[in-house]
Amino acid sequence: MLSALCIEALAMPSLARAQAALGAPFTLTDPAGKSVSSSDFRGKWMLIYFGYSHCADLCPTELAEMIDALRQIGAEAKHVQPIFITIDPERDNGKYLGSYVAQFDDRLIGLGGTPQQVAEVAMNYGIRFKKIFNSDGSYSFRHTSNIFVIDPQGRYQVTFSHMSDAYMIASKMLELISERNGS
Amino acid sequence: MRMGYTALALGLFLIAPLSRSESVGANHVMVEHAWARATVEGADVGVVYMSIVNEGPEGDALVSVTSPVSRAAQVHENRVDAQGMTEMRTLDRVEIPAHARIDLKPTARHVMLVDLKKPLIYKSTFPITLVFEKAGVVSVTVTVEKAGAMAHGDMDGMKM
Repeated sequence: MLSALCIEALAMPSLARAQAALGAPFTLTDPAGKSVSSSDFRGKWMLIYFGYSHCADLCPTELAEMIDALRQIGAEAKHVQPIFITIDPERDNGKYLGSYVAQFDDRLIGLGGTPQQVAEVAMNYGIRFKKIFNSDGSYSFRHTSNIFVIDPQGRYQVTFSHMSDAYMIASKMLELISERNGS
Repeated sequence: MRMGYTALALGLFLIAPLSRSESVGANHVMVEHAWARATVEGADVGVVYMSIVNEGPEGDALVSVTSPVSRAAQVHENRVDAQGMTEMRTLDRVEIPAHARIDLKPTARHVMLVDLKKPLIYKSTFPITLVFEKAGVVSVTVTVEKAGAMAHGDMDGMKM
């Protein structure tokens, strides 16, 4: 019992720190090589997904759910900015990153940068990833696959796990948006 | 996964008379609704989903997948570890029990195409060859859907 309390006491500050970092400002690079900051999206809800393009199954599925959620949100979706942050900026950059995100939706913005920049943003959002090398020298990632919601003032609101589908994302977003409009 | 040239030759011999792409069977094993997601120029990997139906009284197993569109094809499954990280694991075989339907679908088991030779273009088709332990070689035509498709024939809300 005592040990359980201690663990909880130790865990609390780091959890609080992690939550404070969620929504922390970031500056990354878009496919055109332009610097893009989170503050550029002030006034919009940001839906941010961390993934990588060499992920054939899970990442396109999450992006598809996110875009489908925008469709279900309807007219209010004009206040929502979907963003894909790659955890593999060495391969996902420039024109390739641009055409990768454009496949899903014209509104989807792909962001990368230096591996250090990306790692810092991912850490702030509690995204863990680890490069796994295959026998042929190619690599993939073990990674957390979450979608984050940041409100129009740049404050973190909610996380959707990879188990969330478009309907769950859309209903929560509509709830958040209507709460905000009502207040 | 690998397969011998004998099996490949046998496969080509077997598929020649088949015209339906929707449901192709060998003995009691049928493969339905094989589809892939479109990829862009420069993409190295692709994904293929399908349903495998075993209408027979005996279990079977998928032991090999190949396609001319990529250097290799592997059956993968997602594993989520204690830290919530997802990882792909390559499966050597997929059991297909008697009278069972096994769906390879998004976020579940799927075929990963490794080292694509060219992009998979929306609305195009390509062949994929499956080898089953008992049913032998089954060759299937895969339809390429949009990058954000969630199912075979998915037209819903995705970019045209």
